[in-house]
Formats: sequence, structure tokens, C-alpha cells
Amino acid sequence: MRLFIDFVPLLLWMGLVTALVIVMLLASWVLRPHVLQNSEKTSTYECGEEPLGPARISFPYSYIIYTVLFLVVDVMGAFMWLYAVSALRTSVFVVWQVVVFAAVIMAAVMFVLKILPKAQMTGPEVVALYEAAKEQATGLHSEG
Amino acid sequence: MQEAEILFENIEFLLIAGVVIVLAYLALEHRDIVYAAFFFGFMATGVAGIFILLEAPFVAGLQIAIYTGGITALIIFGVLLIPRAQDSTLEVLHSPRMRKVGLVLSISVVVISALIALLFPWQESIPPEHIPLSQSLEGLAEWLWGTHAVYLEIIAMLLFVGLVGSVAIIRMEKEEQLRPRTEDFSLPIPEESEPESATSGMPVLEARDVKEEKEVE
Repeated sequence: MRLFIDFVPLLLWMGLVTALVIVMLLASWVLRPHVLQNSEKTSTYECGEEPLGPARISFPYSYIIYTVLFLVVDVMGAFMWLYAVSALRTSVFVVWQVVVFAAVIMAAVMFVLKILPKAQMTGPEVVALYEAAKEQATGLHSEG
Repeated sequence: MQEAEILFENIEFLLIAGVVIVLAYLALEHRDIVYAAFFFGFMATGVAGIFILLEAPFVAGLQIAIYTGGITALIIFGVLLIPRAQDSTLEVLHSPRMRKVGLVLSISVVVISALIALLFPWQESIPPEHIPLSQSLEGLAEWLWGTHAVYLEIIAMLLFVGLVGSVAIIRMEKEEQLRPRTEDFSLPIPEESEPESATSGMPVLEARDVKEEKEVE
């Protein structure tokens, strides 16, 4: 009764997947026309436009909070799954423990979702900041 | 049969450990930080293989769900969202002497922990009647939810604090953008004559943000 034995089909499947990837890459290498590669050919395709700057730009990083939310719900789900598959799901005491566990985490999630619109920069605020910076810059320019 | 099984187990462990070490090295040393994040995810999956070898299926599932799914997504999001993170690699030790010192230190940590594990075999100190618990999810649920649920409530409180802290950091960033503090924050050191303004302090703040949010796990 070794657990690893049960996972041997999974290992075989992983081997098959790796082999498939290698075969597909090799096949496309064999089949594709080998023409001269230059910077025009290898550049990013942007609907026929000249690409401006690198393709990887950074977004406002307050969006990372959504990943943190996902992680928290992930942990909660894992522990609640353990409870849900066991025979404990009929025990009243354990159900109350689960309710407290879920309520604490969901309270945090609700708090974050409530406070998040106020924590991020809104459009008018960004515009006001931009206007102020522009005014300051033009003021400096006219002084100089 | 018993000997063959033990040999098979050793081979499995060496294979998984080798794969994990290679992937961990790639995650640390790859020049492109996005690739490094993906290698970290593959390495976390390899560690799940070690948990399967230890006959702990719940921990293996947790490892894949949280590390491969969650933490890797968090790191990739962090790389994509945080300005200038994509151009940077992980910390580079510039002088070869520092590199050598770091190598010797890490090797000595591994050797010392292996020696301790050899001299004090902890696996013999575990009474054999506890071993069926590892395979049975029923027993684990009974132990965790039935008798030790206070640990789970502590985990819930930890996640609560982590979420509130991360949203507070974002709130602080907004305050700083709306009302930038332009006082002189520099320490009174005579060599450093250049006063540090609010904008030049930004990278330090961002680095702290990532660290704070990684601790949420």
C-alpha cells in the first residue's frame, strides 16, 4: 500500500506530455521554412504598427491584492475540503468551528473589497495630480 | 520484496531531489525573472512529489494548490505589476569573494543538517502507531478539525491580518501619491550630503510591499 505506486500512471502521463512537447517542437522545426531571421522578423507583431518600447509594461501594482485574495480563499478552500470529505461534517461542534473559521476569513475579504475602491487612485484624482504637476512645470519653465 | 521496495524508494527520492535541486538552481540563477518565477512553480510541484513519497497526500495537494497555484501566481503578478522588477534579476553578488563565501556557507548548512540527521535519526523516534494517520484523510480531519481546530482559527486570524495589512499598504501608497511628503528624510551622516526626497525613496517602499505580501501565505 505505497502511495507512490498509485502515482506511477501520473508519472507515465507526465513523460508522455514531455515527449509530445519535444515531438511537436521538432516537427515544427522540420516543417517550417528556414528563412533569414532579422530584427524585422523577430520583433513583436503589433497589428502592422512599429512596436514602441518593450511589450512588458507595468500596471498599477495595487492589483496584486486580487492575487492575495485568491491565495487566502485557496487556503480556506483546502482546509474546508478536508472537513467536507470527512465524517465530521455531521458534528455540530465542528460545524460551528468551520463557521467561525470561514467567518473570520470572509470578514477580511469583505473588508478588502469594501476598502479597495477607496484605496486605489480614481480617474479624477489622477487627472488632478497631472494638472497640478503640469501647472508646476509650466510655472518653473516660465520662471526660467 | 522488502529490499527491492526500499531500493525503489531510494531511487525515487534521488530522482525527485535531483529534479527539485536543478529547478531551484534555475529559479535562482535564470537571467529572465519571469522564467525564474515559472521555474519556482515547477520546483514547488517537485516538492509535492516528495510529500507523495512521504505518504502525505493532503500536504501534497496543499503544496500544489497553494505554492504552484497561489504563490507562483503572486510572484508572477508581482513581477508584472511592480515597476522595474522585470528588468532586474535577483540579487547579484558582484565580487567573486562574496560568492565563494555564500557558496561555502550554504554548503556547510546542508552538510551540518545532513550530519545532524545522520547522528540523531529522528524518524526512529516516531512511534509506529502514528504512521497510519498520514495516509488516512479521515484521521487527519479528525485530528485537525476535531481536536486541534484552534490552529485553524489562528491560521484564519493570520490571513485576516495579512489581508488588512496589504490593503493598508496600498492605501498608504495612495496617500503618498496624493500628498507627497517632501521633508528631508536623510539620516544625519556627513558623507551623504544629498537629501533623500520622497520620489527617490520609492524603490525601497516597493521592495517592502512585495515582502509584506509574500508573508501573507
